[in-house]
Amino acid sequence: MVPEQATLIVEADQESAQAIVTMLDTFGVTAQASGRRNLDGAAITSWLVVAGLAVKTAPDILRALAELVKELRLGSVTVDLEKQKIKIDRPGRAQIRELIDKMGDNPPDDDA
Amino acid sequence: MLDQSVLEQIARSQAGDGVRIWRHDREPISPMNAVLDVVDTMVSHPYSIFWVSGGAPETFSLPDLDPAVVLFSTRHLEMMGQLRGILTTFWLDGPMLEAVAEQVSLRILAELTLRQGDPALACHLMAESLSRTTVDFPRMTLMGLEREPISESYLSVWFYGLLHEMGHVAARERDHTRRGGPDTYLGSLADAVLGKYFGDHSEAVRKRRAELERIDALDSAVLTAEIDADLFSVQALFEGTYRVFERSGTLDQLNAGRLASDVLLMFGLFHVLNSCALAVRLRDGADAADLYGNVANAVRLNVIIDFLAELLTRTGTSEPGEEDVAGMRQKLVAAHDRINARFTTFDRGHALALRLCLFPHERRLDAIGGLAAFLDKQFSSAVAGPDIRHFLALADSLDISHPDLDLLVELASTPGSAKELLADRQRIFLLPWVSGDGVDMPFLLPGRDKQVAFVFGDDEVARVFVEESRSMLAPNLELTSRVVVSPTEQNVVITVALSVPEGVRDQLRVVFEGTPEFGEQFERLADGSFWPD
Repeated sequence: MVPEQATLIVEADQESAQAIVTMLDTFGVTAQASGRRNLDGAAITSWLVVAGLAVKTAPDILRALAELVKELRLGSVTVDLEKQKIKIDRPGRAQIRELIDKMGDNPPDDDA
Repeated sequence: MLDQSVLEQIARSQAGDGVRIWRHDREPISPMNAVLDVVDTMVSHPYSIFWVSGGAPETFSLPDLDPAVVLFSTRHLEMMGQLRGILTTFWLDGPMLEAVAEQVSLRILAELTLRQGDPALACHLMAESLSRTTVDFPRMTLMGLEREPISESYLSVWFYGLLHEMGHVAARERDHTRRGGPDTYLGSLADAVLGKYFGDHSEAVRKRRAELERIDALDSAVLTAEIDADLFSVQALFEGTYRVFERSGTLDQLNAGRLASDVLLMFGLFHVLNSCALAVRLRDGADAADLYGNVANAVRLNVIIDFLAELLTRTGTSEPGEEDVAGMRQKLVAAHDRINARFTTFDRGHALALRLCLFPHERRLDAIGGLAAFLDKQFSSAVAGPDIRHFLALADSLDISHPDLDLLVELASTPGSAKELLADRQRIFLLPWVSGDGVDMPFLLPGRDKQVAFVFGDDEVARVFVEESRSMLAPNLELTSRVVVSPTEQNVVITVALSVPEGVRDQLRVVFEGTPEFGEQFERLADGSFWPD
């Protein structure tokens, strides 16, 4: 059975994280974001954005992310489905589009 | 609120796929749960603690998630335990302490560098560490830490770092007023420490800092957040220690002064680990240097000492008298000075290790040969074996593969004939080289912020590159492909670093054919974004 929910995890700098949260909001997706605090006391340089996506809307959201990515500094994008996890480090637009294609390799369930 | 499965996904995304993680169980009766019971009285925001077994030595938090996520690394604990052991073994002193400091710092740097995705440098740093072993200070394992008797030291090693991260979670709920006083106090303290550090140059340093307009460790919000977390961890550690001793019926043995000294020691040990983490980030210029980390640490230490002085002189609910606090403060400063004397010696070896990480031209050419020679000596493989196996297991858990790691596996498997094996494992690297008219050095392409040396493995690719690049040179200069024979990439990096002018070294980047970075740089050459504006 195709999972209905996927988890999107994006690592980015603070400005990019904020832009992604705003973008997700336009799709009605409430994301959470947090800086990663290490023990070294340095200013936070790495932020994490986490959002639950309906699998059906994930391709649209990822296309929007692919459009944004030129202006953003992303460390990684991970889409975690129940049976599959796809992670791309330092993705460009092409890599995010590949990620959409890979997700499309999960054929829809006849019962869905 | 994020559900359990998503929290695990988040924890795994941060720890690495091959690393074992599990959520901390709050049910069993344990010192950790006794301490967390205290935390629960101080923090109402939900949190989830995940243990990370193996992996890089990093304990950290994502405090703004709901629930907050804290990753508690067993490897971080082991390293803190080992560092504490070294600093408190008083027969280890002078040159021996410096040597052990260099060795253990190199191993920490190797693990962190591996985590940062630079296995070639990581293997080199391991080789530097192992081949220089003169005193084998035993590794600390988690089991070893667990077997220690419960004491002030035990609790501070296990929980000081965790409680600092919980302090960041707690900060979500506070009004962000610094516990120790208003911002003007922090500002003047930072100023005084900066003055002490930089002396006659402090005004110039202040001016430069203002010009850079960058958020650094001395930034008011950053410093306040760290101090809040520091003071939270001290408060929680004292109350947690009290609770653990009370439960075990040994409250009469609790020595608050000893716990305070342990806090100061742990703070210094974190600085050792943190400076390794900073060196790894700086090694390729990926991060702009934060020059104020040491100043910020000194400010934090002063605030911790002030806080401890009030804590130790408080009796019941009455506020301590000023004289009593001042007297206690003097004792704590004296305790810190005693600890610092050990750190001063330790830091000499530690600094050497940091320099090897940061400066390729200071690394030892053929450290891998030194390691092979070491492994061929009787009993050496018994000494080095566990550390090599641990390092290779870390690489496995992070799903990192590299020819230099394969080489390390082979060397470790053939003690007694490691040198012979190494002779059979030489690789050919092709390095474009400029010569003529007083010039004799590797060919560098001037990129946006780096001078890039491309190194090839394929004859044809190297030939095409050299041909296409010739037109960039003046007519009196010749561009050829020089062959470098080496079992590792790092020897090539060191060779390049030693062969370029000194002024170029801090901008140097050596990129090897077959690596993702090689592909990226060539894409940038193709689309023109490689070159400076």
